[in-house]
Amino acid sequence: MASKVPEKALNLIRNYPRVALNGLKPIENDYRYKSKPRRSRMKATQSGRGNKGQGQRMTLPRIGFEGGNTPFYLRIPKEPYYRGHHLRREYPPFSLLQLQRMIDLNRVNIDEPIDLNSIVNTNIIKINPGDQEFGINLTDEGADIFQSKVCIEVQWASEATIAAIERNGGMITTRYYNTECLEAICDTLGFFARGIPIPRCPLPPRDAFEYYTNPDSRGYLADPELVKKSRFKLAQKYGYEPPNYDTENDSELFKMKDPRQIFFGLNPGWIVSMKDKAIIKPKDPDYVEYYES
Amino acid sequence: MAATIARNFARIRGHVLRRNTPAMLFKHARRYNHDEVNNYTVPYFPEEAKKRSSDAEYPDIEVSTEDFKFVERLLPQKTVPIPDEQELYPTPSGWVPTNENLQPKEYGVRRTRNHMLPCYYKKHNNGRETVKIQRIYGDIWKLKEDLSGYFASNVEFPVDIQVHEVGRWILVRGNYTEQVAQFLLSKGF
Amino acid sequence: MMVLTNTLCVLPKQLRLGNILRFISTCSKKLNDGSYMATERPPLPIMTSRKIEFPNPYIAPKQAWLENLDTVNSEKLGIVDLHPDIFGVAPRIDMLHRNVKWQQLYKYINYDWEPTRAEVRGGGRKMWPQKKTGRHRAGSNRAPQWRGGGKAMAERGPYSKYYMLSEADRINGLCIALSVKYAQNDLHIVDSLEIPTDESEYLEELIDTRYWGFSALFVDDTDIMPENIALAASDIGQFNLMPVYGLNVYSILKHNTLVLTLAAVDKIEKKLLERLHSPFLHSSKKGKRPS
Repeated sequence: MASKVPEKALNLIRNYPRVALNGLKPIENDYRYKSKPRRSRMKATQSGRGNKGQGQRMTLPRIGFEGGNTPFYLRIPKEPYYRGHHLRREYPPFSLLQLQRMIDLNRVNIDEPIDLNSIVNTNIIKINPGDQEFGINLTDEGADIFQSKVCIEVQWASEATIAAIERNGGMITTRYYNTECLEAICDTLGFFARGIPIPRCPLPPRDAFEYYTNPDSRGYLADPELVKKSRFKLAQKYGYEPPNYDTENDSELFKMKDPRQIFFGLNPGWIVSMKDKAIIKPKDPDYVEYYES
Repeated sequence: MAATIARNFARIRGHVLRRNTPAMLFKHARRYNHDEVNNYTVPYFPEEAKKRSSDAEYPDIEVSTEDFKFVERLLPQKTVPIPDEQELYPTPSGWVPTNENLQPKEYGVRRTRNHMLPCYYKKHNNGRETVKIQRIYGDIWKLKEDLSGYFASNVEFPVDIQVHEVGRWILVRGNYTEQVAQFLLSKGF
Repeated sequence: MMVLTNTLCVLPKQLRLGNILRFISTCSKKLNDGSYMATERPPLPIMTSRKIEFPNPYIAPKQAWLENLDTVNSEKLGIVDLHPDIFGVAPRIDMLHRNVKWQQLYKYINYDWEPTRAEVRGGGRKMWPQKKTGRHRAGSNRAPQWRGGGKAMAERGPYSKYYMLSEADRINGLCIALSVKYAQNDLHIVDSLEIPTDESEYLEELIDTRYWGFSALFVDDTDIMPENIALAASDIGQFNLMPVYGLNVYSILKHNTLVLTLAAVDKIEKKLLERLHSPFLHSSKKGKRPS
């Protein structure tokens, strides 16, 4: 059953003159309303500056001046509401419900580890590194319905989220990327087109260091033994079997990246040539030492 | 002092002293090495130019095509994939595919490219809430009738519904997203 | 008997049904009275259906005849299915207008330049004293009110009207143009652009016989065209050849008929459907987060 109106229209034009360049018209009033000059008839010649005085003669004092008394902006003391706001990091939320929906609709391949790149490639969530966004915060909305076994790498996760994923036998790590690395991850095609080496991810800044070395938040810099203990403790707390990652079948799935690595299979320092479908690796010892350190 | 003397001298000689025009610079360039002038790079620093020339030494590299498969995994998919067939619906996240058996013959509502229902909630600036159903094919008035019938049995108050025939959308006044979604799923859309 | 054979099209492609036709040699035989007769045709119809990607569950595919260019009179070789989301879209004339306007304006550069009172030669001296001369006050004789003076609000130098129409609008425009051509019977699908001679009279005769209008746009999937049609169409201004990547709303509407090869139809559908079903349409680089 075709849509009535479009089909009717297509049938109508069968007998009309040919649609050509001479018969095209925009919708009426399609163009933006052209702003009228804001002036009264009597004062048209004053260019909007009024009559006489400082206003017309361009001798007004500086902004904020109040005739000599201490102006408002100097009277009131400053408050530290936005101090350091330019140093704050944002982790836009991404819920377990959204993740489960993506898995259900086959947007993401759960046979391989899911990292920020695979989530951003679906274009369901967008990370703008220029807006101080440093990755994904996996929220626990949908923790009760989450049913997939995944190996996922995000930038921030709460205890409930970690429990929800590990309950299903999955693995979650929290991992830090700096802005340069994020620009490579969030727009891989654009990054490879630039022809610059894959960046080496630095360690997290001081205020984030604690989080990423904490085994309870599954930080990537935490001691693996402590992380194991933390998994056991969490399983006890939430009441499920702690996950076991040592099966041979899932060797492809439970992979972790090196702390300096941002892409699976590609090391920092390599240059990708999309046109030649090749990778250029440096052999110079200085470069190799730097990128492997 | 020297400048004034030079200026006066020029006047006596009948020349007009020009300012430092590019032509003037070029005249002096005759004194430099011809090769350096021809290989003029901006900014003109011979050391930098040497680095960029073909004689420059570049670090050793190794080109490999085997690892390119890892690059292909990083690129986004060009089209939205079709979801796999599963045994149980709704899926854990609550997604239900279309069911052709339930669909009526008179009208149809097509899923979006992401396989989601085309009904959208909007809160307008003045606080008014609406739910819009788009991508309607067929007899739009019949769909409105059925929708009104559904609301009559499920919702206490009468619900206003607006039909836009040309734009092929229906607007429900009020925050009835769940009811609209339930209705569409019950019809198999 | 003279048999004019067309050489096989030697373009390597995947073996899609449309391209299999290229490997079937379609020969035309010139008879004594000067007309052409097709010989060695495979059993007709060549095709009655076609696989459509991302089908529309509510609209059946549009159908068009598969015709030939070997003979002056049209021979129906089969039926081609066309995607309704591309060839059956609502005919929005205002979208076509928007596309055409964009195509004309984004390349437009206005080179007008007029001197202001500062740039017109002269006018540095106060013509007469401020007062007591009995004349209106004058500071320069190149002011706008003066004869020979500069212009007050002068056109200033080259400026461009470049802007980009959104990708969705451009795709929609193409789909609407194709739908409009199909609806008005100005769209013809042809197996290939091979013609028996390189004489332009053949093409003229063909188009006159078939009532294909004054002008025709032949679209193939690559920019390497068969020799005969390239030579035949080069003499005539209203018959133009175009690869798929050059297809645009302005050209489709300018020409009276649009002739697509089967391979071109495949490519157009593939490209447009890929964008229509891509996760990145309607998305800017700094996208807004879904609420």
